[in-house]
Amino acid sequence: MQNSRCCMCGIMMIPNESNTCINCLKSSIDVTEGITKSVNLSHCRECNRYLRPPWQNCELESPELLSLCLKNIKGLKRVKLIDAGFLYTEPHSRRLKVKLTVQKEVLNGTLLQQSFIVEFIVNNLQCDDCKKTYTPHTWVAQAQIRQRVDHKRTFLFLEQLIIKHNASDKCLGIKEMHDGLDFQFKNRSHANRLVDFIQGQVPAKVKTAKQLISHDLRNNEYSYKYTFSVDIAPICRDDLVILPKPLSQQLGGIGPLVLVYKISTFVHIVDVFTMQTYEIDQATYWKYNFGALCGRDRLTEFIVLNIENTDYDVNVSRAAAKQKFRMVQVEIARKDDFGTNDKTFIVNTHLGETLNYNDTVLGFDLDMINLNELEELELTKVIPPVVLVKKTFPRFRKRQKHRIWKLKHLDKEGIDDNNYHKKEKNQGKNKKDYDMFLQDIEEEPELRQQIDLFRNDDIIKQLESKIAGLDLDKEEEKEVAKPKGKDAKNDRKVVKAARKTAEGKKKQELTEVEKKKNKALIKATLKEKNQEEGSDWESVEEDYQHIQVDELKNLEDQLAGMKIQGEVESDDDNGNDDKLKETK
Amino acid sequence: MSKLTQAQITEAINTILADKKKRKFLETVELQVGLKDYDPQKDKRFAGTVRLPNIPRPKLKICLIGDAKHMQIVKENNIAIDAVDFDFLKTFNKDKKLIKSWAKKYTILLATDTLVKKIPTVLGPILNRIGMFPQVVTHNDDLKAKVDDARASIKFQLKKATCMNVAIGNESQSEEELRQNILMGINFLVSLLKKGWHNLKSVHIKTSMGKPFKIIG
Repeated sequence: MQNSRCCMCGIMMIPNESNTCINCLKSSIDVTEGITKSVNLSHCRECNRYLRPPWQNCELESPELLSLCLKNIKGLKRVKLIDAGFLYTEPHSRRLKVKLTVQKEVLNGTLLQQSFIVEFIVNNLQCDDCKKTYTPHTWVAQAQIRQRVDHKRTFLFLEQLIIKHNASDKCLGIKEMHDGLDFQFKNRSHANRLVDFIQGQVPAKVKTAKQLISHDLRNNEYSYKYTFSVDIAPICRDDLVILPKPLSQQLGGIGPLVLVYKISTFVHIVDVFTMQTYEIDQATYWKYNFGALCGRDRLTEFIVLNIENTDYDVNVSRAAAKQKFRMVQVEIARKDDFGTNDKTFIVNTHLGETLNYNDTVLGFDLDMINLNELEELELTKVIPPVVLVKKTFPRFRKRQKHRIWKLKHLDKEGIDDNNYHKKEKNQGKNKKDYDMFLQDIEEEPELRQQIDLFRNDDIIKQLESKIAGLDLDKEEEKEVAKPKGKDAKNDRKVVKAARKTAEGKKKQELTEVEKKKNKALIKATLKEKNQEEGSDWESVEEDYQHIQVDELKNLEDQLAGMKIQGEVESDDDNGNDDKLKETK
Repeated sequence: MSKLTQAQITEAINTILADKKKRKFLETVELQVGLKDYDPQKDKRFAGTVRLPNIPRPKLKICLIGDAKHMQIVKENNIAIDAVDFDFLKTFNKDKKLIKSWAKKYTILLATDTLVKKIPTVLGPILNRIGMFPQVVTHNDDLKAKVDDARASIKFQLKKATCMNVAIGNESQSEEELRQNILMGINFLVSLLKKGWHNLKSVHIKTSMGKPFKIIG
């Protein structure tokens, strides 16, 4: 091969097709032609994000930022990118420099490589999300959910339902208002979804409204704000109600004094005299639209002195049997009266299945409550002196300071109340409502089924340390109890399989013994706890018997279950969100 | 229906006192009442006690479930009642039959106010079932007066049947005393009823083993 001369400068070179030396080729052809050397980058100061688009969060001199920069350079497609890297720039200079090395084929088969620097100018631009926070017109649709009662019970329950069913996932913001909540959405259909969800849970009335924000005459476009006003029926469970006369007649002469024992999409009522039950559908309810006569805050405690079956009971139908209502006649004394005078009442109640002798039960003391409506009613009908509503566990309640479960909450914006005293008062009231709600969850299995409970690990650890530190003469039991906790799951499987064989029977007996011992252990802890509090254990034990058996089992299972789960948890660390298993 | 006249009652008392044999015990005069237009399933079941001016049953057996202080008072003042302390109740061990047979020995039970609250937990529902839940005595009350009160008072309680029977006096009492008691008892009962006199179907008085005599009905 012979060397030839370059056609431009005349130096000797290895011949190539263009007959030009590399230097001349470089100077005559610019590979970087068509590539922008200076690019504007948009950066949001608030959230420190760059616009790719979309808005992306990246550090200075990070690979993410580099890829973002390269993406914004125009004309890079025509060349082959060999290398790219940041050159140092002072952060305040608002410049980024990227050194690029590119290759391009020039003149058949000749590759030319070249390095150059692209400068990025960082401009400030507010991103969409940040813009939203500064403007009031973020939402397009709003669902205003209201219940005009003086407690928050319904909303606490709804909140849990919404969390469980994830009904508010598309929600932009939740605002607490007087008598209710506001949910804001970007889309009308998202709001509609929540409204439908709520209508499927409680009796509610919906009104829609829209407000014109702007419109474009040329292409007939309008932008509206939509508002759904959801009015939840202002009655709750355990409310005493006087039915309007026409409604009472329509329902076959039920009432008119009735007790609301359940709220679903229907209003479930029970006559306080005949113990007949009836469900009022939404349409009928809104037609008559009755409110509560008195609610839960007027309940007083009574003690059951005697229970007798009545001769007749209307609750024999299957539907009624599902409610576990049985009409009984009970003799009760006010808790305040008991021990000071001999005053007792004999009333009929639907709580026959749940009430036991010497239970404490909550009821409306109609002899003591002064109500105009009642006085009017009294002229035509005989009203019972007391309407019993539900059983309660006062001593059990005292001990429930530390719950081993907790609830999740939606983040809501509170009411900005300027009046300090009012705010203080409201907070106290809300806390009380919340406590009551937690108690309800504990006492009503039906309510528990509907919502999700989450483990409270702090309390569980506390309890565990307490159990460990317990030195009553029960060391053996602890030894028995501990291994049980570890292989509980395996054990259960084995028991199922081996129940039929003789060995299985033995095993079952063994586990039962263990269970008993576990029970004793738990009792012991409770006992110890109680001694700390300084009240007498005996009375607590008495009370314990009267708590319904399954209630008690539940608690114990929970305690046992917490032991199991506590150990599992140390392995994988997603503790908080583990659901508590519903114990059977 | 009209109210009772004094003459009616006097006549009735004279009749039943005259028309009887001599018995070996002090016969009681009883008041028997039948009600009408009253549905115990629907209407309010009433219960009320009234203290009669004259003690109808002077020999009534009473038992006091008392704390130490009350026990002492009973001993010191020689009140003619039995007294037991709280530990005694525990010995029953909730045995229904034992409690019942013990309680049935007495007509009325009394209990110190502090103990009343604990009685249901120790004895169970039996006392209520047989309608003998203790009456409350506080330390401030005069125990003797309370016992007399208990002896003099009668209880009207409507059960499932619409008839009642109470002791209203005894044969040793004078006609005037008996009349007072009967009048007071009936008037009180009427005050409990929903429609007053209209609810009374019949009223009889009789001695324990004598023939009944109809006052109303």
